[in-house]
Amino acid sequence: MTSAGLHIWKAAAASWTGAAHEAAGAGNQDAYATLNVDDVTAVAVADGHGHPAHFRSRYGAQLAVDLAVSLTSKTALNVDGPQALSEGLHEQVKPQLIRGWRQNVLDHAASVPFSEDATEKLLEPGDEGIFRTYGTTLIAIVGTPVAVGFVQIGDGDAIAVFGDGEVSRPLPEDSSLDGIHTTSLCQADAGKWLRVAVLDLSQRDLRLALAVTDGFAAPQVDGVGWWWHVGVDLGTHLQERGSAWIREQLPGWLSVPAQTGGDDTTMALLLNQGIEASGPMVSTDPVPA
Amino acid sequence: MGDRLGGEVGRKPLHFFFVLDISGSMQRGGRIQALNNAIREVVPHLRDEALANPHAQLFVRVLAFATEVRWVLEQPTPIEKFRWRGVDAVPQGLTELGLALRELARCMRELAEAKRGFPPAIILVSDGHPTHSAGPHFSTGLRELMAEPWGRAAIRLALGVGKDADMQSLRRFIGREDVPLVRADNPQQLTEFVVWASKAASRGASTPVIGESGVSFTIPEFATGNPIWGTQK
Repeated sequence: MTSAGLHIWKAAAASWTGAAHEAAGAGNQDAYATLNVDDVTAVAVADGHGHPAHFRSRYGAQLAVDLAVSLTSKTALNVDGPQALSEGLHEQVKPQLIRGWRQNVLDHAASVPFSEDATEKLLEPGDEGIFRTYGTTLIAIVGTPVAVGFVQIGDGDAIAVFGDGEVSRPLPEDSSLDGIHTTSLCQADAGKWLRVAVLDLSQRDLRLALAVTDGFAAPQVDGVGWWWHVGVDLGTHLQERGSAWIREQLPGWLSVPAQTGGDDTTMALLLNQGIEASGPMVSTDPVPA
Repeated sequence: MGDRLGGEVGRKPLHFFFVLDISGSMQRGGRIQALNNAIREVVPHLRDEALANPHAQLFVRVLAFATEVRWVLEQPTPIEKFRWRGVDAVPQGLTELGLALRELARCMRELAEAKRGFPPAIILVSDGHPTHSAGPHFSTGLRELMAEPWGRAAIRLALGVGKDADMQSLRRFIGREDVPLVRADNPQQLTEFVVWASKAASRGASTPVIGESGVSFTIPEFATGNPIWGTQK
């Protein structure tokens, strides 16, 4: 137990192709990435839109997660403390993420030109049309010894599990998410929809933080409180069984919603090494109404 | 313990709403009987659709409107258990479509609160011009429906019955120019239209709609037959 001391993070991530995508031969359009540099660890997940209008979204998702872990960890390495991390995510990562993703998309489109095939038809002319074909959501989490930062655009969930058992979703809500449509990195006004949050760990332990694509939430029978149960389960598993066991179980856990709901399902976690196998977790907060 | 993370998972619900005009004019020319036959006819087709989609659980509800709105089937009922007993037209009943849309808006609000499911599918069938003697104007009801995120996202299809159907209002209900709006002028056409619309709405609603893109519908060729409702008063 760190007792609000320095947090050292381990990453875990996995993805499972949705049964509907499997049946349609569409493949997995989610992506994830993890990166550890010194005492900073970053993870990211992305959900490529998959719709025929976004026919290159799997590449868009991979470009997004690769860039996100690189930018967030670089920023975290260069700042000191939660406030500075928050400023770095707002002032550096947000604009660089949008600019960088767009540039990487254009580079990819130049190196792998669109075919003449009707399946790769642009619905809009110019660069905006190209960005649209790579459309994706993104959730990135970066952990330092004293803070954890979150960046998100679009649907999916970021969840934090504190040392005292509280489970929360630290990012502000995106008012445009209606459970049906999503905001996207491919939008011209993507910057408006990028959300950022930072948790100060100097006074409070964090057991773990996780990012998960919406393929996980969609088939949950408890559409309101599912994330709380997931947080409690993971907090307990980390404490009683450790990160290696979680890493081993992760693909199987993702396969259940991916097969039932049909959508690709991807999860990435930051796991606090100091919490591992340290005894039973006691949850202090009630199930959300 | 290691098999599942979090709570129980299940197929995503797809809520299917039939919104049926049972105003007095539906008594003419066997329209209400034809509508009842069409709903009966559509059930096996919807069951097939449900079987073909292992990730969706299709629930049916039926709302009827004349001077008042009345739930013929209020409880979301799995398509496997749905039995259509028919509905009668209301003698001298008006066409209070605004009231029906207000009731639908309330349902959409409830669905959004549950935070799960595919966008709902709504099939509206009407043979006349909306009235607003007992309830809100059609435009008000539509505005209330469209103010709900799930109302906006719903796959909305409409069928006109006979030459007095207000196709302009039905088009406004659909809300998209690229979605076909059809008019049935005889019982056979009505059945074919209801079957087509139900299958199209079911597929459209349960196809993942992601990003800003919508769903496209292609209308097949229908039987022509004698247009008995296209001429009669």
